[in-house]
Amino acid sequence: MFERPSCLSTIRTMLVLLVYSFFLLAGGTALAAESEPIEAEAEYSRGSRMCLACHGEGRAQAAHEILLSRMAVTADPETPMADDNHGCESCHGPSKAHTRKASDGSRPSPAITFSPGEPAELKNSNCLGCHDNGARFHWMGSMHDIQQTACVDCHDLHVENDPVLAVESQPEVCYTCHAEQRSQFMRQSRHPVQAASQATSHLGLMTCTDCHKPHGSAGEASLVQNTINETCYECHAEKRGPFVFEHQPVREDCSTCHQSHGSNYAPLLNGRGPWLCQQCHNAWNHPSTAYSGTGIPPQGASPQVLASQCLNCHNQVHGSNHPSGPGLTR
Amino acid sequence: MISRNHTVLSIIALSCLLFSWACWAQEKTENEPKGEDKKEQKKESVVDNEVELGLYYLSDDSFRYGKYSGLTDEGVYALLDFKLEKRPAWNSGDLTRWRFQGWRAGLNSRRFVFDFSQQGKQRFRFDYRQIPNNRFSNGLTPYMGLGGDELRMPVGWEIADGSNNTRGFINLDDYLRPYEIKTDRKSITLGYELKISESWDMAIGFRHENRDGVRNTFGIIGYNMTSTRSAELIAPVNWQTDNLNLMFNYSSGRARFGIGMYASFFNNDDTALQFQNAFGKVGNWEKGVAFPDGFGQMALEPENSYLQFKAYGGFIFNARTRLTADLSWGTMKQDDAFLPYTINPALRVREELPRTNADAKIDTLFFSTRLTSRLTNRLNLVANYRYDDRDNKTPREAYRYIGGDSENQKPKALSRINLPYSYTRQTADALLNWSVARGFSLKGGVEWNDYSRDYAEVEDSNEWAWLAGARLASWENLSASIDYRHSDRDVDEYIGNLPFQQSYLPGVLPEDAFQNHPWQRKYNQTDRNRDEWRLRVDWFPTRDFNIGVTGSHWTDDYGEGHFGLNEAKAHSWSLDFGYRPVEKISLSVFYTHENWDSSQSNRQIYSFDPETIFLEDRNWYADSGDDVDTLNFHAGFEQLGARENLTFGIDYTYSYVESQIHVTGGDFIETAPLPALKNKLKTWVIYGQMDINERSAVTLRAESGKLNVDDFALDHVTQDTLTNILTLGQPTQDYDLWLISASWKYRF
Repeated sequence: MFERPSCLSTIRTMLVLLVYSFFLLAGGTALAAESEPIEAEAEYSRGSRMCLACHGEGRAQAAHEILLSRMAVTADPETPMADDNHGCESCHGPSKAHTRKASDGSRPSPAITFSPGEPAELKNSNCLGCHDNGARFHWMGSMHDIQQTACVDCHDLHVENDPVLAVESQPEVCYTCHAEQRSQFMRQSRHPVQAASQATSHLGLMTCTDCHKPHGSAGEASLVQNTINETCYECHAEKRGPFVFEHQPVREDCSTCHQSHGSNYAPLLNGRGPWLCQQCHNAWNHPSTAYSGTGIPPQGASPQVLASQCLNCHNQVHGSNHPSGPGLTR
Repeated sequence: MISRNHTVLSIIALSCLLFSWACWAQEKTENEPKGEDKKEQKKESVVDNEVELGLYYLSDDSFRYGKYSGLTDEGVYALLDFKLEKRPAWNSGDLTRWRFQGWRAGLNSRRFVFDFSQQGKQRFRFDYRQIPNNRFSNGLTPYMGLGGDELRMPVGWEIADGSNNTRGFINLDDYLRPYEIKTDRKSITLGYELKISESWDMAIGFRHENRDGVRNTFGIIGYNMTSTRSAELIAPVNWQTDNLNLMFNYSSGRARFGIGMYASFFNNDDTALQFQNAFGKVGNWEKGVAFPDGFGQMALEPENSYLQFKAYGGFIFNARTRLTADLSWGTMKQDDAFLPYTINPALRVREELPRTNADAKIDTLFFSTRLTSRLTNRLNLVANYRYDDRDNKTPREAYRYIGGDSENQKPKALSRINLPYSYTRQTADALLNWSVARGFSLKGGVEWNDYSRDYAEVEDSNEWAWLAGARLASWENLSASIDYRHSDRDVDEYIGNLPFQQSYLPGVLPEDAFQNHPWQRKYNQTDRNRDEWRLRVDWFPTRDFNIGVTGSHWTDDYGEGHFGLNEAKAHSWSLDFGYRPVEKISLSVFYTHENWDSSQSNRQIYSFDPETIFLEDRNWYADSGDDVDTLNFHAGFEQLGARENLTFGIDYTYSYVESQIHVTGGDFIETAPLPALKNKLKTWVIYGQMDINERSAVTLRAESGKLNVDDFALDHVTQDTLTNILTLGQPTQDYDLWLISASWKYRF
């Protein structure tokens, strides 16, 4: 029988159409306004000293702090500032035209400005020209690459210490895009990654890169090891086993039951017992019983609802190495 | 085995460190500037040291507040942060830099990092981390010997005549005493990277971690629902983990490859936890099981190891196409000696253990390959394939077990056979990204995910997904993206009683015997449709103003007509706002709202009344929902005052989570509403800094924290609320406190 669409579903459909229309219109506009790719200037300027004359301390778009960073060590032949390289223009491209005003009074931009409007691929190709090895081996085709994240979206090169490389400031950089994770790190059960910028409690104790490789990895979710479980075992090796009596989803994937960033249910669980356990277990008797408010004081006191719920007895939920432990109780 | 591996590991680590130090010393000698050069370069080196010294004052005790910081008790704590640094001036000709930095040196959440490098040549890193996990301090227990591996009831423990539950603990209150449930991780990480030649480099990392303290667990006596008694125990944690990573990398021209290894060893000082039974005799317990003679024993985490060899390689065919691959193979092992079936000598053991240890072993094989290609100037392709195999070779044996140290050994027919789970997972995906125009791109792709398992309800499951997205970054001040993904998982025949049958000796159980209801479907092994949306818009109208909106939504539909999880969905949206009206003032706000919902169904069935599996009036349903709101506001003011030497800021964070669980059922099911689970956190921070001169400054900081938690599982539950379980009875941990700090910063 045909059902009339609900008001909510109509609104949802209209919202989807609106979003699509926005993208089509914006895309069309972009297509119509497309210009030829910027042709790089052939000539280099006189070097970084000239750049810093205008981009020095106290000036708009100051970049002088780059001289304090690793990028500017002239003795390292691989840095942009090394004698045989082109200083600022090693990254920004040959930009002699930028050093003088055009006839109409405007100042041409450097060949590459690393501004938000420039394609990520163009910006990244410059960085990868030198950094296409080691940790960046998995960059091409990684999640951040697919999302067209530019290196400069996370890295700030014009400062002494890049915030994303400093343990105390790294999470804040990641939260710029990963707002959900920031919220999750404020829940009552969480890993100790700093979520509130001004709280002192555990600044720098744990960072996003303890578990993730932002430049990509062989495994899923850009994790530091090949699988979710292997990544968790890095710090929770006691759960690796193998145990004589195992719990099937535990061996396969920790995230079947746990939320790695934070949860309202300790310890980092997807839900509250016994209902979380009952999503898979409804054996005879107590595992299939309906538990509700009748199991809490003053109506009652159910061992499946109070204290640690199912774990009050089945405490070896990650596996038991006791020969009398098939029920994961010992 | 473990100790031998340890020795080998130590030798490898030590050799590498000695090697690295020798390399460094050699480099140092060769590069040492002579005479005037040395003087010149010294002048050019930049020394940048900063020390912050002061005091914290915490206004109240709270384990919860100091869970990860160590600020748990009311009182004064030392505040010491520092950074000692030497770096070369940019044009000094020097390559050597080092930094020694410490955070919270006065607390037990301290971290020290020493980083030494000769840029482009080698780098050494030392990282000491101490991570406390202060879980709770308000639990009470009558057990003695806390922190050890044998727990006894106190002398004088009395049980009322004929009682076999917590109601019979006559003098429980007299013996209850608090014990702090906490662990402390201390880890040392040593890392060394060396550029061996133009094309070769190596990296070695070694981490040793000690984790000490106690955790709460439960020890049971008894073997079925009516005979089982449990006590919340305090188990020792004396764990050590050693991880070693070693990689040699080659990079030149079009080729990249590397080989290496990963080794991990876990050691536990305690193999078992023994505990005296606190309960009086239950009817079907054997003699000598009840207090005072009866003891229980549980296995603690066994020592284990993991050794893995790794290799990767990549080839850049041309500027447009590259192929990469990763291969890892390894073995996880565990051969800790088994505990006996029971610790209780009064119980009859007719048959000895079939083996002395599990000889557990899992071989792992992981392979992944990725092709990235720029097919045309506007079209990019990314294709991935992953193969992940876990081959569990742990021997299968029939264990004629003893339930909860309380009965004689089971009849042979009721022996249980271990199920060494293995699985093979394969995934493949292909994604096309089409740059329609500068700053506007579309993408689309397909994904495939296949699981093969043994000893599971489903042998093979297959999931296909397709995805599409658009991204817009056409203008300097606006970017937006939208992504959609739909996946459809199909599984083979679901045989719900297969693992149950496989865990018994062949022929013991009738073919149709089952444990879970035949209509039960485990959510990780059943058909599923998943829809995911993600939207993000960022707008930067000026350099000083930005606003961003992120939204996401996903729905997992497991279908109706079975028990278990039927549907799960979540949506979330965030708003970010940043504004800098003038150079010295910055304002920012973020707000996130998340909602998680799930629906599950079940049927209450009883072994003593098998007909209940057919009765619909035993059906029950649980709908769970979480609403999460997070808000943060920050205002910062710099260079205030006549001397422009004042900095001031204010920060407010609000986080509120409310979780509801509604259980309803058929006519037979009696239910009552459950109170909401609530968690409300409010934090105010006000801070200020006054620069006294170029080198020194004083800072003041005040933080107000307020946490309210409502949790029906803990609130109003004391040690003897549960008749058959003796718990620690810890209530939820609210706090309302101030943390004030004053410090002096000095740069030199």
